[in-house]
Amino acid sequence: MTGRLRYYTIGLFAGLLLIVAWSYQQYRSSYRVSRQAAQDLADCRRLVDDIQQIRSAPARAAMQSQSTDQLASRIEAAAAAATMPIDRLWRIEPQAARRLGETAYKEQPTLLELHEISLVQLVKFLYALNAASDSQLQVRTLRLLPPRRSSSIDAEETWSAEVTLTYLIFSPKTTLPNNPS
Amino acid sequence: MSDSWWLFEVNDTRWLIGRTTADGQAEREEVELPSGANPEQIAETLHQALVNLDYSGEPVLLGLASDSVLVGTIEVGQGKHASDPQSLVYQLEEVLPLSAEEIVADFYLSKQGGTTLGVAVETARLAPLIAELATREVPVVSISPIGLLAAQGLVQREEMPAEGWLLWQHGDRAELLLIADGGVAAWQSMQAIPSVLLRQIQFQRLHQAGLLSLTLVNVAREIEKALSDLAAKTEDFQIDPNNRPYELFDLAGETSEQILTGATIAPIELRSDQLGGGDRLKPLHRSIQFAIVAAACLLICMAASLLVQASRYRALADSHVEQQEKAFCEAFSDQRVPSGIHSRLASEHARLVGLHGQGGDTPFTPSALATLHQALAALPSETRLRSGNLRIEGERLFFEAEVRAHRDADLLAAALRQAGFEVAQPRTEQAADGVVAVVFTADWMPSSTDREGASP
Repeated sequence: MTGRLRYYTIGLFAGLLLIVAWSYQQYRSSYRVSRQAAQDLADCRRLVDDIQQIRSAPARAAMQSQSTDQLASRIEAAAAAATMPIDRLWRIEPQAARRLGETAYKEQPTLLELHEISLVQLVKFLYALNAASDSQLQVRTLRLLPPRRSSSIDAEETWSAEVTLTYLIFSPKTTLPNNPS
Repeated sequence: MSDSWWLFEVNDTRWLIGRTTADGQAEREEVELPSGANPEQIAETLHQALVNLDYSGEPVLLGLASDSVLVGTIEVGQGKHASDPQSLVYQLEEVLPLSAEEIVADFYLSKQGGTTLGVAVETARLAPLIAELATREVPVVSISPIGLLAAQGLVQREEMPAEGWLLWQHGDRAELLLIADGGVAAWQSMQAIPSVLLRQIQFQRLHQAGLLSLTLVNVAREIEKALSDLAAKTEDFQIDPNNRPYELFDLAGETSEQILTGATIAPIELRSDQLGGGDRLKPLHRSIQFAIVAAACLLICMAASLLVQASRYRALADSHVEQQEKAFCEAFSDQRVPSGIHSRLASEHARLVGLHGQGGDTPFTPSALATLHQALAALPSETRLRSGNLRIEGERLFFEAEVRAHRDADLLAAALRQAGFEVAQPRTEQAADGVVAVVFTADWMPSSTDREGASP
């Protein structure tokens, strides 16, 4: 074998070895990508199933604070449902939200002050607030003041009440990745 | 296994081409050359003859006639340095008519040292022939004198004592060799004429102490008789009466075949130094080329199969991604498919888990309405009371009321306990208008079913 031919042969084999090494790298890379894609697909299917299942359950928290208008309209709707005159609602006072322990939730309280309402009206009003499917409002504290005696024997007793409504806001301390919201 | 080929130089105008086939069949063909043929003509003639015998590039052994080599004996000491090839060549140079630079030589070396036979060939005479043969794809892998090849064959057949003289006649020539330690210690080639041979035997008798024992191979009857007569007259010379019938070229051919197949090595190898400058791997060129091509094909196949497999994996990955997109569309049909489907789904999942309170850290926020409902439902209808301040914080109840008697307070407390409240002992106080003021503090301790049932 001449020297030149030997160099050509060595060069050929070096080139072929490089090609084999590159092919192997391609193979390994494709294998890893395929395996990861299969794993991701299984995860995606599981997540989609979970998401569809979770969606069927009622929401327990809001993503953000409700505006004063939203809150007021819900309270007014509840008052109407309880046949409670709106002028009995003296005060709506949103308070500062506070984090519940180390959880990803904040609690948003709103103080309501009501006067001259019957116990039935109060209960219906609070029930209507609580039952609204999209409000997530909950009666956290309730203070009933002694009923005022009416001048008429047949007249219904009227009460004054202070109610603290709350709803949960989902607010994780770390931002969710790739969250479109 | 391929055939073994050898080229024997008989004299200036006559060569022998021999072949031993894979199944052990030996055949020989004679080739005539014009007198004074140059190396190119010799190589061409030999090549043509080889081609006619279906020669296909196998390695060949070149056997040299006795006249073509130079022979001398030198004294070699013991030890490693004593057998240095270059110094031996310079010692041999002193007994030869050519300089060390003009020859290629090899030696019979024994461990004990002493008188050593050196055999040399003139480089300029042989190198062109080897080169010409090489250009015709006839690779010469070994060069050795025919007489020594035949002697080795005879020794290997154990037809010759380990020590002694050997006289081997072939045609009009005779080889006289001294065998010692299984090798050749002295070698002379001469005309096969009784007077010449007798003179040479007498000369050796004079120089050798002790008995001179001679083994005859293929010696003519006339010469055998002359030597027998000499042996009969002298006491220090004896002849083995068994004149062996072996043909010199037959045994040389056998030894050549063994050398070419690697069964033994040449007694004297002159394919070295200036005559060994060629490519020693030449006989293996075809095999090497085949191996190179096979290895290259193997590498190409490996690369191709890896790339094909990689392509399949890529297609599989693409299919998985498509299915991920479909799964995403099932859950979010109104949204554009993002690039990172998995992370987007994981994010949406975490968000929904948080919103729907499916996570483990969802706090429990007790409802005062449920506590009110439970407390009102628990109050006994037969006990009259007048409600005072009532405060509910989650599941804790503070209740002030007026009842008719102290025991009514206990009845109220018992009713609340019955409904799942933990009630501290109520505090009662006789009021001015004849009623009893009572203060409760109670904690509702519901089971999960109670809580769900009481939930408005």
